[in-house]
Amino acid sequence: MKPAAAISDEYISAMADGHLDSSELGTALNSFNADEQRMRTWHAYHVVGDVLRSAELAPLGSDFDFLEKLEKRLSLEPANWSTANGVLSQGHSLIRARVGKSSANAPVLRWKLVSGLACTALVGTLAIGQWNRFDSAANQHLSTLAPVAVQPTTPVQLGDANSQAMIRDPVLDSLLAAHHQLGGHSALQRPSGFLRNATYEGTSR
Amino acid sequence: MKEDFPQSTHASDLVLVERTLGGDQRAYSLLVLKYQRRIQRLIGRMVRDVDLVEDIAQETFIRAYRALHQFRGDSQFYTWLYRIAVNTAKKFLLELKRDPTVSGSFMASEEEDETSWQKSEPRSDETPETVLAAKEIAAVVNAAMDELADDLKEAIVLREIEGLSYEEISLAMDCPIGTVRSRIFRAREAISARIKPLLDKQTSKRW
Repeated sequence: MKPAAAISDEYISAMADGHLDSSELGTALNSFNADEQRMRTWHAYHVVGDVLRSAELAPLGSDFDFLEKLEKRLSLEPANWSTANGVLSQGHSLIRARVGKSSANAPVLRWKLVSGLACTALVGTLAIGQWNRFDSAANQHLSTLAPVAVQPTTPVQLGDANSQAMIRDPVLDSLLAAHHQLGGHSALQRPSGFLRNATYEGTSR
Repeated sequence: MKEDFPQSTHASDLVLVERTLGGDQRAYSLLVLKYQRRIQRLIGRMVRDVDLVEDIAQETFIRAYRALHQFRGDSQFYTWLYRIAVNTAKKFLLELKRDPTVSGSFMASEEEDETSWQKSEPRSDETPETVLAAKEIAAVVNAAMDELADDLKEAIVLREIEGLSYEEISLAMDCPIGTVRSRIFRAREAISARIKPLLDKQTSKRW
């Protein structure tokens, strides 16, 4: 960045047109404090532009006298919008965003929060849906499960491949077939409304 | 409202507003120097009193300064300032109407604004001396324009009157953007060198 005093009035001209990049702009703005003649240059350039657009805009009096009066009044004005009292509004941050100087990613953070909430809601919805599906599938499976005639077989699976598999013991099956009075749903490890358990006591007792 | 300012000045206005909000009052002075003539002309079409025009213009810039943090940059800075100026002028006019000691002869119609101004009516801040000085400045600007080299004249016309950006001028004139920037600067320098003595004459104290 060039020193403020060293820049040419060409910077002021480009600044008046909004065609300085950020580093040049900072230098140009600082040059107004370093050299008061820059204010006259800035003023003259704008008078030229105004008059070219409309002869009515030629200054009728001293613009600097007007400015001097205004600056005296402004010096008495408290800067109510200063950051010190926390009043600086949203407008300032919007301007910062527009001029491309916003380093804080406040809008990004806001969208992160929104997307986070959306993801949480989506996961919750899917989880509830899955739970309901699982629950209804299990109920359906259980309701269609009739008491099965036990046959001595090799280990078999009950129900379809997707449902819960039960490994049957052929020895137990044959025992239960021989002693129906001891058998029941509970012996098959299935819910039974009237028989919760089955035991066998041998002669050794 | 007529928006005849080149659009790309919006960016530099935003920067000046931001600098002002950051505590750089000189940045606000740059905005005042840029827009005060248009604001005074606007008010001059609503109010016929010479002294009131300047008072209302001062009040406009004070109010704008106080409310600067509310400027969001959605519109052009001048559009925002224009509304403040109109509201301030209306408030002044309302107070004057309530004052039985003043007549309404210096008030323009409330329907009038910047675009409805009748050219035949004298502006409130016009005196023979100021009118003469303003006419002289306008004449010098036009004379200086006539003396410019064609490439400089074309560049400044495309920028100030047509409102094109440097990129657009670069395409129109088939030259690099740096050349556009340089030509516009040289044109401005040549013209402002002619009017600066006249502007200095208008300034009584400070500069």
